[in-house]
Amino acid sequence: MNTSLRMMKTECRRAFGSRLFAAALVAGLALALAHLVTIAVPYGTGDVWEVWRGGAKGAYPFSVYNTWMGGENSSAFTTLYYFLLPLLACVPFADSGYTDLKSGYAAQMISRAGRSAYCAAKVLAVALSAGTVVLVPLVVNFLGTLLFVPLLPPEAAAGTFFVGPSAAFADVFYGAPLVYCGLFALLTFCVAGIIACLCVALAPVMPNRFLVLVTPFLLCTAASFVLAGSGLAGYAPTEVLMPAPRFDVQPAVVAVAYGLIAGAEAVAIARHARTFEAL
Amino acid sequence: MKRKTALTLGATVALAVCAAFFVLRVAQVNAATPAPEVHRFALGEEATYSGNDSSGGTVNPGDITVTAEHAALLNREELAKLPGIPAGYVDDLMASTSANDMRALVVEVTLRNTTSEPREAHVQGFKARSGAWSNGLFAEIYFMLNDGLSTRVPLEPGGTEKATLISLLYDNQSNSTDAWQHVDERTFDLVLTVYPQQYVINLGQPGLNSAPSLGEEA
Repeated sequence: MNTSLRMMKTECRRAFGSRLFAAALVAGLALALAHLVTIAVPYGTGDVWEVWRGGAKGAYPFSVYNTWMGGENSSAFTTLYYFLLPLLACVPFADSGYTDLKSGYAAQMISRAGRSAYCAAKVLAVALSAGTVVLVPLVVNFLGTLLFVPLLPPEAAAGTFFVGPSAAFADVFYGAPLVYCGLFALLTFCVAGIIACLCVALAPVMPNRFLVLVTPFLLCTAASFVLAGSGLAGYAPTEVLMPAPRFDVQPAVVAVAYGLIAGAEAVAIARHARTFEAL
Repeated sequence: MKRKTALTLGATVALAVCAAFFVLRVAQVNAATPAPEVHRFALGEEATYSGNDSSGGTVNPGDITVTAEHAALLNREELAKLPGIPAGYVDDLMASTSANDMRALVVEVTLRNTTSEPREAHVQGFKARSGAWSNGLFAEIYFMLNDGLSTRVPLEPGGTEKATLISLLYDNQSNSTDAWQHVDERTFDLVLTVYPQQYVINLGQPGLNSAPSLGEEA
């Protein structure tokens, strides 16, 4: 038990203390801050939006819930952030499975702590670092938006909120918007972890580090293109994570689909661990 | 050790100061644009409202009152039987087969001008709402049901006018088949204004009511 805990701490220290983690976080924060400067600040202080802020002509003023990066789906920085999310999730530590195998570090750790402890620690560190690096910019953007735009409750009759009546959990959005944001934060964290763990599952069979790192991003982009125009467009990873959805999805289908992907990854990683030969 | 303690203390103080500024700023922003003050009325109750209409005109509190006399949620067949609706009428969305089913929320209202000057009630600004769903007036059917009455209903000083408001719901506006199957059990509101004062008439469950008897003599 102590060995497993020590292994988890070691892997987490490697994941969160790496320069790549810092770099991915800075990139995500740059997008979040760019969104803040180009969207939230003008809405909150710009002369052009003065009429809207005051509720003139019967308009409902801007709220944080339709201004922050996850609350709208039309700005360039929001689109770019969710498009790059699979890459941001993988950059910090997802390729460490591959580098550990190639360098012999994995063999050393497995011989000392055992396969289960090493694999569990690896998956946990990869998932936690991936989830953290994509969630922190969203939280920073939400908090930053609060400094400029009021926290007005979403109003369906206003017609200015991006969550339509056919969206999943739409009633939650209009009834308890913070709970809605929390749900999507949890979903984003989990799906980022699943995306990053795909690198761990593919590590033994990929020819080089670069391919390990970019494969999830390429698969997510391909999924977006393949599913676009069909009734399944909303299930692509970059679409399903948007709190301001562009397409309708069924939550149960999302849970099953991503649960199956996570399960397949778990099986692959367990199989690789079982058949791993250090010598 | 002393240096580490000093750094920790400094960081804690800096964090506390930042948190205090954050809270003060958020409070300042929210004080400048507070949440709407909601006024609720029941079906049959004379509701007042105030605020800006869509053309920028101001409605003072009490100038115009709205009484929702009756509300009903009609399916296609029931809608087609209303006086003024031409035989075989199908709205654009149903005609384009984007939706497979629809309901029409029909609300009969009495508008009253309590002032000594002519006024206009901008009924196109009234919105029907139920949970996450909301829709405005469907003008095409409104004109059919109200003999071409303008959506800016003219009201003589002290005068009243009756109007039938209509909003359409479609099954593709539900997030599940189950939700649509229970649409007749939903509660609806008529939202007269949204901000800064919000005036809402609770229409109850209009799906349980019979179709309105428009234009029929008692």
